[in-house]
Formats: sequence, C-alpha cells, structure tokens
Amino acid sequence: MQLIPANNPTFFMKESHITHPDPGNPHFQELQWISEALRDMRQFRPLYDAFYKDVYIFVHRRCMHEQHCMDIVSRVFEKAMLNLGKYKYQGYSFSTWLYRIAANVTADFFKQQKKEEKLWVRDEGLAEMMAEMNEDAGKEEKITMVLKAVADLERSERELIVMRFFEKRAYAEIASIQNQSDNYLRVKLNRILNKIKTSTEGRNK
Amino acid sequence: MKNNIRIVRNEPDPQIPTPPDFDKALIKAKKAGLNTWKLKIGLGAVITGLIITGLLLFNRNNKNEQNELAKKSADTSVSSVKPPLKGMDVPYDTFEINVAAGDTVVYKGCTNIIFKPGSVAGMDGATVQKTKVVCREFQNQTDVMLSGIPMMYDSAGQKYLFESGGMFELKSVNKEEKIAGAGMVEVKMCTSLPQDKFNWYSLDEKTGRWDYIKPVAPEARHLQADTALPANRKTEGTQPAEDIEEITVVSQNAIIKEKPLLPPKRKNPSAPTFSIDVNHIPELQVYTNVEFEVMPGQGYDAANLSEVMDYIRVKPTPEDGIYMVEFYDRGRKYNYKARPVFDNEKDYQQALREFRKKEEEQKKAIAKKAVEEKRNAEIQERRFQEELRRRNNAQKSTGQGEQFNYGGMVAALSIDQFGYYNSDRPISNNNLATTITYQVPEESFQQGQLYQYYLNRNAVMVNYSFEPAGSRGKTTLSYRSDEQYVLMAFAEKDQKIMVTIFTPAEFVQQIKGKANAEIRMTRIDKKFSTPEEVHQWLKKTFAVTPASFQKQ
Repeated sequence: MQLIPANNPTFFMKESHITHPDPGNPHFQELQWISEALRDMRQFRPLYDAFYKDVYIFVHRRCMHEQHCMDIVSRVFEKAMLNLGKYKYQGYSFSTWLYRIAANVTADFFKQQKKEEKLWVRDEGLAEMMAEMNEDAGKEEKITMVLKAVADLERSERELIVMRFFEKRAYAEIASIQNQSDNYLRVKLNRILNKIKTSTEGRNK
Repeated sequence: MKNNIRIVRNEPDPQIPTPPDFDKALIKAKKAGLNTWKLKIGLGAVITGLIITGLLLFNRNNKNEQNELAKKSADTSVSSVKPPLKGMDVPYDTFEINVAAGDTVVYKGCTNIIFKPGSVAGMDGATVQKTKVVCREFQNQTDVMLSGIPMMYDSAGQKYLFESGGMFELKSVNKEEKIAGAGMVEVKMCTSLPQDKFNWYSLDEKTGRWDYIKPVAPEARHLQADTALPANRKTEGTQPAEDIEEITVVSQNAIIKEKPLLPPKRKNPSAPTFSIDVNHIPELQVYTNVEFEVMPGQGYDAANLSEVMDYIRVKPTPEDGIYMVEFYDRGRKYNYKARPVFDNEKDYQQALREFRKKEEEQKKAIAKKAVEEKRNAEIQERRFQEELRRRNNAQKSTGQGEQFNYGGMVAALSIDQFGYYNSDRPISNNNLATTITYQVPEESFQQGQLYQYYLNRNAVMVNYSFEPAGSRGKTTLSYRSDEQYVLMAFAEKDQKIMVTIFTPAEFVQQIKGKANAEIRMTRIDKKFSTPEEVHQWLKKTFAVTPASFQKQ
C-alpha cells in the first residue's frame, strides 16, 4: 500500500481508485467527482445531481408519503457528505453506497416515526419468487398469502426479497448494499423463501 | 400482519421531484456535522502542525506560553500568593510526565522530581497515564519577593519571618489531578540552605498559613553528576492541557532529533510497505523515496486504513531504527511498527552515500558540542566555587551565623499533594523597632509594599503596606541590629520597573538605634524583565557599589 500526502501535507490519502482513478474504469467520472469532493465538499454537487434520482426512487419504493421520501433522501445525502471520507470503492457505482445509506436511514426513519411503510411489489418478480418456492403464481389467493408472509418478515429479510426479486438487483450488488458476502445472501434467501413457504402453508391449514 | 406495512403492487416509478438546491443541502449537512468533521480534520492538521512546529522551533524559548499554562493550574483568585509586579513573577517550567511508567523531571539541570509509577490520579481516583506539571523554584530573596509568596510563620501566636533554604512549587496543569498517595512523588531539591535547623513546611494557599512537615535532612550533592543530567523532559512553546497526547509526540520527536542518523536498509520484497512524508523526521529527512516496511506479526491490513487519514504520527520505539506509526481516521487508530527501507537500489545507494556524508558531519558536530559542554561545565563549576567562596567570605567577614553551603546540598521531601513547599527556618524579626515616616515619591507608586530585604540572609519581609502616592506614610519597622537590610519598593511605569531604595548605609545612619526616623528613599528607573535580572542587579549593586545611589 502506498500512502501519499494530499494537498494539505497533514493529510495522507491512500493511493486508490478514488485519488487516482483509472480513466478506463467504468466509474471513472464519479470517482473523479468523489476525489474532488474529498478535497472540497462543494464539489459534491455533480454527485448530488447525478444520483438524486436513483436514491429518490430507492426510497420511494419503501415509503408511502412523498414528504417522508423527500426528508429521507435529504438525510441520505447529508450522511453521504458527512461520511464521504469513509467511502471505499469496491467496483460498483457510487449509487450502491448511497443505497446502503438510504436503507439504513429509511429503517431508522420508520423505527422512530412509526409510520406506515411500503412493500413495493412487481408481479413479474413475484412470479419468479413463487417459482423458486415451487408455488403456483396463478392463484391470487396464494399470492396474497405470500405477500402477507413477506410483509411479516424481519426488515433485513424483507429488504433482501425486495432487492432480489422486485428490484432485480444482482447478488453482488445486494451484498455490497447490505455489507454481506454473496454466498451468505444466497443461503439467507433460500432460508427466507422456506420460511415464507412454511408460513403460507400454516395459513392454509 | 405484524408490521405496519402496506403492499403496493406494480406501482410505476414516481415522477422525480425537483431536488432541493444543493447549496441548501450542503448548508444543512454543515449544520448537521460537516463542520465538525472538518473541524476534526482541521484539528488533526493543527495537531500535526504543532508537531512540525514543535520540531522546527524546539529550541525556541517561549516562557510566556508556559506561564499562561501555569496560570491555568493556579487559581490566583483564591490564592494567598499574589505576585506584586505584573510580568515579573518567577517563571514556570512545564514538564510532561509519563505517570504509568514513572518519570523523573530534572529541573534546571539539578533538582530531581521523581514520579513513581501510578503517582498521579484523576478526579475519579484512577491513575492517569500521562500528565503535565508545572514547576518552579524560589532560591533567593528576590524570587520570594517577586513571587508574592507569604513568608510569615505563626507558631503558637508568635510571628516569625521565614528564612528560606529553598522553596518549590509543583502542580499539575489539570487541577482535578492529585498525587495518588503518600510517598508517590519525591522532590530532591538543590538548595542553598545552611547545614541544619531548617524544616519543611507546606503552604495552605488559601489562607497563606505554613504547616510544619518535618526537619530537613540535607545531603551533599555531587554537582558534576547532577548537572550532567539533561533537562530532557521540558516542553517549550507548546500547547497545553487538552492536547497532552500530541505534546508527547513533540517531546519524542525532539528525542529523535538528537538521535544519530539511521543507516539505510533495503526493502524485504515480501513485506508490506507504505510511505509517508519523512520531512518531519529529522534523521530520515535527508533521504528520498523512503518507504516504511511493516514489521511482521502485527496483523497489518491495508484495508483498515481509509482513503483519508486525519493525521499520522510517527514515534520512535526502543528498538533501534523501528518506529511506531499511528494512523488516525476519525476516531479510529491503527498502530504499526515499521522501519524505513528503500525499494529501489539506486535510492538505496544514494541514501547510503548521504548517510555516510551526514554521519561524518554529525560526528564532528557531536565532538564540537562535547567540547563546548565540557567548557560550560568548567565555567559553571568555577562560578559555583567562586560564589561559594564569596558567600563564605561574606559570612566570615561579618562574623555572622552559619556558613552557607550554597548550591551544594540536596534536600529531599516526599509530597502527597501538589502545592508550595519550603525548607525554612523561622527567624525573629522583632529584635528592635523603629517607627519610620516616609514620603511616597511618585504618583506611579499607587500601591504596593515596602520590602525589608535581607542582604545576608535568604529572607525578605514583605508585609509593610505602602501608602498611596503623594501621602506621607508611617509604619513601624522591625529589625535586628546584627543584620544587613535594604528597604525597597517596586512600581511599574512606562514598562520600566522603578526601584525605590533605602541603602544599608542609610539604614545604619538613620534607623538603627532610633525610636523614630524619617527616611527618603532614592528612586531608580530601570527596566527588568525577569526576577533573575532583578536579583543580579541587587547582588551587583550591593556587593560592589552600595554607595553609588545619590540621595534625592
């Protein structure tokens, strides 16, 4: 590892993709913005402009009211600016890191505010999920039971279902957002699906 | 359903509202703590800056800052110790103490203050790891006079004046801290006291009362051996209290500065390395492209270090050529032992040449310094012997009292609390009395005290109040017929210290043996900046030219 002084000699910045982004890197542009923002937080603006939409959509899929969404998104960027120095590039877009913050802020928000949360579902993803559970997605009654079971899951479990099946995110990206390993998530997802299945069977009886 | 959740199926992505203005978001973030974040980094910068500045300015004296620091430890509002002249108080020296390991302060190259491990405790009673103390000594009448320390002793209602054999003040900069227990701190004070009849007293700072501790048992000290001890713990021109940690670094880097240059080493290809700016490490700054090779077995993980470090500290370790590099990143700290190495053969060879060249220069400088130190020690020893002879002769010629053994003794005392300690002998000052009437000569003498300054003893009577300007004052002066005195008062005007003085010859002529006397004191305008200057001037004046002052 190489440590080099930044502009201010009292700072020592790791030579990394952030401080010296490779022009061939698919995230070169955003890494450059981050590098500049690390030196002067006013340079965070391009990141704000570029990722506001993605973060808003992520949050909107989890909360019912627009004002709550706006508040949460605002808090997400606030935290991102505060903690930018801790950001580590792991090969994914900067938005992944923002999603991680957004997931945490959203969870905190609903824990504190006790407001109604949203379970954002797409039929396409629902079908895929039920197929993995060997369930028939054609029966509306069954679908309702599965969705209720999903709604009853722990937050982290529910998030995994939403990200994997309804938002169609790759395991690697979810792993990065949830700060878990790829394999762990696969095993966890399998257990969650079994849990849902057991739950729906119980309801049936 | 256990959770408060509404299921929303197939909702399209929303229309994105206009994002709040970024500048407002930034301001909001600043309010939320971005400013704190920057402050922390700024603090890191300041701290590191201090380290650098400390290195660059290590030899630069900054007494004022030390005195400011010392003032923090002494709350004068509740103290009976009140220096009469602003800016002329006896200066403090500040020392950092490694409490956990135990430490010894060598004050002015002579007095030893020994802190046993765990000797200082915080407010909660737990031992502190490190602390910072202020210390000063009062070795002569002038020090006593200008420090404003009360020197009267009350024994069973009988008032005595203290003749001091040496006095010290030792305090922690942190007022909450205390000495952890009896015998944990020992002071071996170099002193000018006579052979016997002196006792240790401690001052109750609030009331000005001195409390008896025990008799002084002075021991002869070995001058050369003691003065050879370096006053290595003294920190000069540094920032105080909250930043004890970084001051430690200043001191340790200062030690590095005195270390010989490190010979260059080649890099072990299989060991991880990092590089930092070595311009702040004197023995390495002559090299280029220095890397630090992480010593094995430390679980070093480069991923532990975030992209931006608040700051990095480099400390020497007892192992030769190995440093402790501390990485700080917003509350997290990672320590790695590492040694400077060179990866590139060309850099290594260049470093080797540089090392040999500098080593030669350093050897010459060390040899030169040794010669100078030897010469200074000889001069010091000669002066000491001269002073000793002069004192002894002075005593013999006047046929008075015991012989002084000036500076040749050590008086040891274990203390269990910070404060003032005095090795004293109570002397009666009321052998004779004369009521004197005096005219206050200048308006600048608004207030103050009239000092009855002993010339032949380490004592000064300070409790004569001085009347307001323009008025005639009257006071009863107690004195002993077999002593030599000078009467004086100080005032400040136009940044000068004005001394009004009544010389010994006048004293004899006009006061001795009289019940009443009217005196007129001679005013001398002189600029002094330290008590030592005042003392030297008094010594010079009364030893050489006591009659040189013209009466007004």
